[in-house]
Amino acid sequence: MDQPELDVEACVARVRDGDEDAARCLMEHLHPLVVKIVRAHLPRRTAEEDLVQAVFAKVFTRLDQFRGEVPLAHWVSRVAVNTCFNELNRERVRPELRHADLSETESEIIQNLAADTGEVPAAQALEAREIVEKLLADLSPADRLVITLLHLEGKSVEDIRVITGWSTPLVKVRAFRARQKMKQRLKSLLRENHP
Amino acid sequence: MSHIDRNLDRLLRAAAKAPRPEPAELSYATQMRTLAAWRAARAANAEFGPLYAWRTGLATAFGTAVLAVGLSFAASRNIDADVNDPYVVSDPGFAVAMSTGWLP
Repeated sequence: MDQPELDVEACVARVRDGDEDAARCLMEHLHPLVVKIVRAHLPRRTAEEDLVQAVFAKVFTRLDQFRGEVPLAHWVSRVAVNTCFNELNRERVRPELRHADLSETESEIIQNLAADTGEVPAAQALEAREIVEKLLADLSPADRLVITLLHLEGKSVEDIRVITGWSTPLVKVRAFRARQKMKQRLKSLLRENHP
Repeated sequence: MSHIDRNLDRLLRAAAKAPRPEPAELSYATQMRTLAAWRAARAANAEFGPLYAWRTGLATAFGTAVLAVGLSFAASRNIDADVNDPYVVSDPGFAVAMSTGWLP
């Protein structure tokens, strides 16, 4: 059975007054959005639930700063992305990816890429994602964020500007540099595969 | 477009198509922990908010009092200025403001 539509504005007003039932309703309403963002930007050594909780804690304590100029979901997205970004910043060790770190299927994907045999089969999408995650883990948080938003979530430069608060030229420059770094990493993986 | 560019694009396209698991239900534990953290933050705010406002108010009042005493002292020194000077500024407050550079 479908849940009745939540009156977000009224709910936010009640949360601002300290109503915990309203806070619970708002959490349930926003949970799918927050989980989606957290999963896309989750640092490798952080538990998903811990980060979800950190995002909600920030949303509730900063709700007074929400002026309603943008939809609540946009504002919450920004809080969630920034929380993940800060968490990624804390993750200082970024090990370089070696070919030996890849699983058998991942290695096969790299071999196929090297052989230039067309698109990666849909059945190997999960492994492709895993390789990309491993390549991203090697990048700085800002580079990782911009590649995830641009290439994996299909966001536009304008969307990224709104979410991150960076200027349009900065988004473009970061995307370009991040891509260059990924290319370098992928090139060395391919070279290891076909010396 | 270089060979490595094409390879990276193919990899990214495939990764973007990877199915994502459906978000699990919001667990009761997460809900409770979040609400507890929020409650603690509100309690801290309620405790320190008025105290902070009171301290800020006190500091502002003290600053204003010191400034007022300083201004009136400076004005009282200038009130006996040369009365024969045709260019003397008659308003002591204005004179202080001029001398301290508050007015252009």
